[in-house]
Parts: sequence; structure tokens; C-alpha cells
Amino acid sequence: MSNWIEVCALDEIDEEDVVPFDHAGHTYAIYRCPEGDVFATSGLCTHERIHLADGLVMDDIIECPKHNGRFNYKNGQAQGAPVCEHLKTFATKIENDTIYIEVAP
Amino acid sequence: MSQTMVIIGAGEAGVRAARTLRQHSPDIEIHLFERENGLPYERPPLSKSALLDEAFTRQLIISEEELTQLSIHYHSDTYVDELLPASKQVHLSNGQYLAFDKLLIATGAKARALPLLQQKGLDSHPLLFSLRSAADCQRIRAHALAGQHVVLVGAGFIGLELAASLRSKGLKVTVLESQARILQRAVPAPIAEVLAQAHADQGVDIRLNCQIEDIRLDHVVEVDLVGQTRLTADWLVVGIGAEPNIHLANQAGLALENGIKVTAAMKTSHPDIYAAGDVCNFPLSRYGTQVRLESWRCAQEQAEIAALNMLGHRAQYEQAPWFWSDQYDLGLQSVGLSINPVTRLERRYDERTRLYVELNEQQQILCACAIGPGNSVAKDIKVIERLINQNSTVDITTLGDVNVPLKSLLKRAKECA
Repeated sequence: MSNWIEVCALDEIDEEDVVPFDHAGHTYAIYRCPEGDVFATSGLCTHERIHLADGLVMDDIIECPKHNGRFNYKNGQAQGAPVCEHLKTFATKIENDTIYIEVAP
Repeated sequence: MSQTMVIIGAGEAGVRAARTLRQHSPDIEIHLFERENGLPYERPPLSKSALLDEAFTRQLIISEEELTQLSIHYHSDTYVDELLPASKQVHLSNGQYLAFDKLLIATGAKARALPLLQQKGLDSHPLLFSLRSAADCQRIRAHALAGQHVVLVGAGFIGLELAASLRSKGLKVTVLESQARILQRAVPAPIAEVLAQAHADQGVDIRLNCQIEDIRLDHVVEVDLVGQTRLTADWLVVGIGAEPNIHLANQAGLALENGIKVTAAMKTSHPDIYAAGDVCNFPLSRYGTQVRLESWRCAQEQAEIAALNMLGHRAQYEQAPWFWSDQYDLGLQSVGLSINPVTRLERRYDERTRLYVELNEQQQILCACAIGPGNSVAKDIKVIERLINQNSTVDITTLGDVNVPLKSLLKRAKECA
């Protein structure tokens, strides 16, 4: 069963940027890539559980605000030390200029 | 025959070197020696979460499984007591000799002792503390009881992080600093001011321009200060910086200069011996200078460069150095070096969120330091780090205007490139 959760209006996230989103005790990071598409990953770095939404988005990469762990936010892939564990990713959709993510029911 | 690589010291630099060596070469033999007992652990938490968390834990840099999986021979509780550069061997504390093809010295730094206490023969008094290792942290934890009074000598990063942690645990904290402000050498005044205010708000007593006349350690600590009332405390921490562990390098006749002198390839004066991390003094061509830094990230990046070169690559260390500090709810980040700045400007988002930037004559950023709640300044510092590493010329009006996102400078730099 799919479980789509409303996040925010599309224009609340700048292109090539990220915002945090909390739902049901979980924290997520919601991204817009430079082309404008929306992506979602778990919100905490797999290295030291730092909030990724304070990090910098450059192209397809989010860089953790603390220890510079880098992930591709489109597929969650960790890009090398200090991070080796990938990020979980979540499906997103845009309806009526509103962003939704699909979380486990 | 496969090559043997020896790494002395399993801190950030040593472990990163071992990983990098393995990543690029499946066949070499890698030996990693560590004087301390147990698995390699992260040091930054020792002045922060490791003191505050309910139970003490070591945050490991690498697990036992990973060491096995990467076939890294890890020898804890074992140290190199002699380095024989002519025969390319190390003599180990267990009496054995091991021959190496390439060697990395990553022995780090040790806490600087207070000369006064050394002269009085008090350097290992039970009421005297310093902080470098997990054992030091555990010793402090065992003494950090709410209501006790601790005197910290030195308002550097370790001293101030300890002050914040101990204050949060309910201790009475007095910090003694000989300079006119905290973090005099490391942080620009407008940023240090925010931290000083946070400590004052939390009730930490920071005494500046302070001259210690005498210290007595008995059942209590007594500190005589020039022109001030005598301080009495339960215990004493000395945090006045660190000295590189150069004993082996010195004995081996390697070139020294405030640490082990290396090239940008992290090579020492011996063609098969490298050094990385807190122990080395390295050139930064961007700044036309040679420096020794105590930085978690520098140690890793340098170790990566050293490892690549040990394998015959031609890599050079060129990154602008970066570091951070956490005190209370504030996060400080800094990038670059303040070498001959011409222009200085501040971007003040609010009283507690500030970015301070220094530029050269060509309007290229030399360094920046920022502070704010949590990791709120991280994005700005990351943008600046990129601007420095790309040698971008920046528009000073944009840089100083809080209403224009800093990232726009990166985009502009990209378009101009």
C-alpha cells in the first residue's frame, strides 16, 4: 500500500537546495536538483547522524554540514570516506505544485 | 614480491592511509601500529559527547571486521621504539624487527605541559588533567561531579570545549587565559566574541590577561594569580596546545621544523618515509607558507595524499584547511589561513550568527570563520571553501550583503571561469 505524505509547496525549496522534513518520528531531507526535479532521502547522515538539510547541495551531491560526507541524493549512494553507508531514498511526486513523498505505511 | 607498508599511529591519518593503500592496491602488506590499547577511535568527541553521554563510548574509526576484510594487520598496544632509516626497518616494542618498503609516520601530537608544574615535579599529580586520549577523557569523566570547581588553563579549542561540557554537567568552571581574548591565534575577534558571550551566559568565569604566579597541588588546587585573589579548586586541567610527537623522526635524523618537515607530497627528508596529520609541518603553496595544523580533516586528506604517493602516484596536498568546534548549541567552522589579508569583512545574520571573511589584494578569499546555532553556518563555509580552492575573485558587495545568498558567488565564479 502506498503512503503519500504532503511535504510543502514546490516553491518553498530553491533549485539546487535542500530542506528538512519531519514526519511520524522520522526526519527526511527533500531536495530540488538544478533542473528543478524533487528527490527525498533519509534526513540524517549515515556517519554521525547529523541533519543533512544544513549541508550544501551542488549538482547531484549533498555534502554533510559536519564531516563532509558526500552522497548522491538521487540514488542515496555514499561517495566515499568518511561515509560508506548509503542513504535511504524515497519516491516523490508533485501534484498541484505540492511535493509529496512516499513513506513506509 | 609484494611490498610492505608500515604506518605508525592509528589516528585519523593512520587509518585513512591504511584504507587508501588498500583501496588502490589489493596485494601490498599493510601494518598499522598503535601504542594505545583497543581499536582506532575518533578523538573529536572526547571533549564533547564522550564527556556528556550517560555512558562512555569510543566512536570507532574502523571496526575489527573491516580491518580483517581489508587485510590490514592492526597491532594495538604496540609501538615502534626505533626507526632505522638506513636499513628501512622498524624495531617494535615487542622486540621484533619489521622491514618496510614505505613508511608513514602518523604519530600525532601530545598535550603541552605547563612548565611551572614540570619544574615542581607535579606533572603526574592526581589532580592534574589534560585531554588527548580516550583514557584522559575517562579520567576526566570520573572526576566531573556536579558542584565541583575546576580550573582550566588555556582558552583554546580544547579548553573551551571542555569548559562547555563540564559546565553543562553542573561544574563550576574558571578558565585562565594569558592573552587579551579567547582563541587569540585561531579565530577572528567578532567570532570569538559570540563564544565568549555564550560562556559568560552559561556562568563560566573566563579570566583574560591572566598571569599565573604559582600553582600548588595537594588535596586541593591552589592557584596564585598576579594581582588577583587566590583561586581554590578541586582539580586542574591544562589545555595550552599540543606538541608533535617527533621522537622517532628525530632519532632517525629526519628533517624537523615545528614537526616533521614534509613536501606537498607528504614526503619527509627520507625518500621512502612519509608523514601526515598533526605531526607534520607541510607547505601550502596557495598561501606561500609552511604550517603544522591540528585538524581532523587535514589529517585524513594528507594521509590520502601520502598513501597515494607511497604507491607511486604523484599527488600533492593543496586543500584549504578546514576545522570545526562545538560549544553549547553553537557550531564554529573555519576554512583557509589568515596570511597577509588586505580586506576584512563581516556578514552578520544576527547577534549569534556571523561570518567573517579575509581577502587578499586580488579580492580572492584567504579564509573565513563563522559561528551560529547548530550547523547553520556550514553551507556558507562550504561555499567559501570552494571559492578558495578555485582561486575565484569575488564581489565584495555581494559577500557583505546578507540578503544575497553566498551561493550566487559560486555561480558567478562558474560563469566567469
